[in-house]
Amino acid sequence: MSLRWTRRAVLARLGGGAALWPLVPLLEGDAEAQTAPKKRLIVYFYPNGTNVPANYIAQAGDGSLTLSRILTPLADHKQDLTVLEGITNMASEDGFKHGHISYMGSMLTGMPILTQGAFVELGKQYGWAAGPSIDQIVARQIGRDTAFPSLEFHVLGNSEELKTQYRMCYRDSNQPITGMQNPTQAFTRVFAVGGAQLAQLQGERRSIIDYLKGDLARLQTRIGAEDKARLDGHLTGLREVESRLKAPVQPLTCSATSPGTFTRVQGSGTIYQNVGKAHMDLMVSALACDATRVASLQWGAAGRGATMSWLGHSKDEHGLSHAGPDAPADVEQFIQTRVYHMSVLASLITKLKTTLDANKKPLMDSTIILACSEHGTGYLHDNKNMPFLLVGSAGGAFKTGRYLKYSPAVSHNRMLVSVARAMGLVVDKIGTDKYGAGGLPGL
Amino acid sequence: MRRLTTLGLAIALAGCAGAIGDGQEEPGLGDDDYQDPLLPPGDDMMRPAPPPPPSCAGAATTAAPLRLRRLNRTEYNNTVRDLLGDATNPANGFVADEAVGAFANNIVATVGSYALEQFQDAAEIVATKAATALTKLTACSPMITGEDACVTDFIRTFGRRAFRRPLVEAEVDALAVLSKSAWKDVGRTPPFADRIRIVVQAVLQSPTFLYRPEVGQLVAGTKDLVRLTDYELATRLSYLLGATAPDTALLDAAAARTLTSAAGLEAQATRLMGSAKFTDSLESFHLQWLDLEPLVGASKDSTEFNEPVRAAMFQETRLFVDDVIRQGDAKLQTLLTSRTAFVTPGLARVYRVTYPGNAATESASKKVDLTTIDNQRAGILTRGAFLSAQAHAATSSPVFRGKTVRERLLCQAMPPPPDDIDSSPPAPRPGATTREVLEAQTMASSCSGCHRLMNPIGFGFESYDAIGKLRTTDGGRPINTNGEFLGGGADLDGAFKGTADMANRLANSEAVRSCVADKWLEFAVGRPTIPTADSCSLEKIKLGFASSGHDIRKLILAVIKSDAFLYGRRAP
Repeated sequence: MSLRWTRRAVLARLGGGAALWPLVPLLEGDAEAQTAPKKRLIVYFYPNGTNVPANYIAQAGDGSLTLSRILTPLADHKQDLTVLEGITNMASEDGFKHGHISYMGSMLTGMPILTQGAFVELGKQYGWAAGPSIDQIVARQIGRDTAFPSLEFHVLGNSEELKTQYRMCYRDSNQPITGMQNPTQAFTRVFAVGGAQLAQLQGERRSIIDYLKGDLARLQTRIGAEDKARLDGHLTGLREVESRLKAPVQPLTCSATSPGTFTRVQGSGTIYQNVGKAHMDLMVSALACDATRVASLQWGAAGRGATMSWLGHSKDEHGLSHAGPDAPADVEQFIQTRVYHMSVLASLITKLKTTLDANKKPLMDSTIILACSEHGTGYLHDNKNMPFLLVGSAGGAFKTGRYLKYSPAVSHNRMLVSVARAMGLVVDKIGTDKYGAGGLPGL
Repeated sequence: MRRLTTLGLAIALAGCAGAIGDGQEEPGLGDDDYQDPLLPPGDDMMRPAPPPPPSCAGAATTAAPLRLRRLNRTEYNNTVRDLLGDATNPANGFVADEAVGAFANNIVATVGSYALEQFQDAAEIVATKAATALTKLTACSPMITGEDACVTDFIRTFGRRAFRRPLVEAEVDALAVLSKSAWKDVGRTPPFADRIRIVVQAVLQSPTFLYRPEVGQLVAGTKDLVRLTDYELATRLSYLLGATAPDTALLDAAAARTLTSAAGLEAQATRLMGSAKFTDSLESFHLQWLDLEPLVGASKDSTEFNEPVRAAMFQETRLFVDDVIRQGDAKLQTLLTSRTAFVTPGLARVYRVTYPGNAATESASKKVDLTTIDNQRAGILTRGAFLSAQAHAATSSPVFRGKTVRERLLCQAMPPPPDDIDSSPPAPRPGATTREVLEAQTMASSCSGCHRLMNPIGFGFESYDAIGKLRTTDGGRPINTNGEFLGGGADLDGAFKGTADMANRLANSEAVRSCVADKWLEFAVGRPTIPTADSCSLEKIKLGFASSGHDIRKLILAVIKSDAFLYGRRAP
């Protein structure tokens, strides 16, 4: 006779409602961790660039902030914003170069795209980006004590395909991360642990992982160097799974609500909006429960996008992004899609301001949101004037409510350094420092 | 076409049509980024130039470095079905497979913790279910033989199927120890059924199971050339011809070293091609080769398209390739021109044929002959799956269809549209056909360089709409299905008249035959072919294909006997 607790069984037992999540620092008796302010990072990505400078850039001049049309939905949070002008994705110039592909790969890594790899386009080979992304670099530091060093959420599309322009997060060079696409699966993964038989189940899983590590080591001796590196990544993954099995269960200290059952997650329209909202709710719950301190939300794949039929659109975001000054009707619709993404961002900020962490402080107080897109001006498909937007300062790392203009342009690597420093990392470069080291001047 | 900067113009011109160039290229701004698919790659291309012509007779064996493949979702599902009788397709929810080239081979990307937790979940569910019917897993009685002995016996027999070779003692020991000590944290020893379950659960997550390691045996006198072992060949053979793990007969043949001889290998291959599981493999090949998978999530504006029709289209693909290749004459000509269709009541309506049964009470796919009903609907490219997968929601897409033929039947890569043009499909215009709208949109010389290679092929399918339904008018105007092949070789190039003529021309093209051979080798070895390593193998494979009158079963046998299949190079 045996008692089996699968994640599903546990979830059913929980009635799909309340969640159990251990607060790891509490269990480890780390009293300081209960009070020391934690820092949190969210990456918020929407594809296909924006409409700069005409409708994105706030206002040139004295550093005060007047919101542009696209940023107007963020009016309630104006004092939390840092709007940047004159940031160029210079690193993307150095490797394989092609619009969405290279700009997407370089956006969070600050590294070029490998010129060797699995893909061929334009008759040339290319691979993935050549370094880890900012969220993973930060997670390695501030996510060590949480069950999930980071969580990646993916809304629309192309999770079914692995391609350089469809991924933005990288564990390391050539190691893209595939995000969670189905909110039901995501909820089960993050929150459904618990139950009386858990110790036996977790023990069994730990024993199996020990066995798997041994099997991996035996296999490692029989294969070539490149495949060894792949299996090293497999081992890293196993260790991550293992680390989540260590925490015994504690009573509820936070709650998460099941998003219900999503059987279909691909699609524009209502599915798109619902999946995105469910992901954001899960993300905020996971942060509040301290299951993770680093999360990213990818609304779509670069060069693809939703058709926002609820706005009366019949072209998808990517098609609209191509519209230039000679197609004003499409430009107008493209701007509407950017406004939509900013209004959803505003709702995320509101939720972070109204959700409390274990210290009974609003999550937003300890958070920075890095909002981004892979292009600057959509119809130019360029890497200049990247619409990097910072929300919050993770407890006052820099002064917010400002507009900063860089002329001549500065490398986005320096913006990434500023974010990493705000998260408490002591660094001078993220990705390459070929275009200058250190953080953004004047931030 | 809007937004065309000078750079875009230069790129597009350099893209497909050096001949049309007007010299407006801006040096250093990507003018070297595009490769004319009709020209051989230049020196700066990553792809190695093809080797000088035939020195293959008597040449030394060449082989490509061995890459570690991980089971794709179809292979995982089938393997679990055959190992444990679990037909629930547990891998369907796994993270996406990675295709390097045309086929899901999982040879590059690392699996992360998310995927590993999915493997863990699946293994727990599958093993728990399997252990409830213990007698199906093992006949050994712990009361008589002893629990430890029975567990070890199970590890050896189940492990041999799952790892596709006999286990070494260290592997047996590791699993035996695990099964006994997995509950050590709570101070208990699992009972027999749980020990068996734990073994299954661990094996299904084991890298040795999930990946397909190939080490081979060093060929005497070489530095790194290896011939695959009998067990490794059995595995290649089984996943190629059944998309699943080797059965006991095949493992026994490997143990008896009968796969070392060409005759022994061929005997097993012939046996497997006679098995119903060969259909799984044929289905998997054609879904990927012809890029039919977009149909999985495609939404269509037509009221005649619904979930049963979508399923019927996939079902027809499976039945059609089975009918032609496994049960029929296996000729490439038949695959590309057969008028045999398999229809459900819903798909029969799309094809405008009468369902050969009671449409009110039956739903099974049934065989019909289209010859007298729609004689133009010839071959696999004219069926619902291809026509719907390569189309938009409301309109046909001559571009998608032409591009897929160009890339997958002629093996010519097409560059993507330049970054800074609007490549979204043209909106239908009243009083104009899709063809006319597209011709107007792509007539500019900057677009026509590439589109002249795709559109005129796609036009051959224009009598079939977004769901593959027969039509005679489009936008109120008559359909024109005449088109043209360009750059496909002397026997293919030139104008064609209608769909059936186009299909027939493809079926008799040397370029298509050569491409089909290339794709089957790619499918078999799990990586795109490499000219330096594979050209002599391909030459022999193509000879075998030709001498059989282009019989696909014979082509597969030629692939299996090729050096590219039998040998590898040990990666450094």
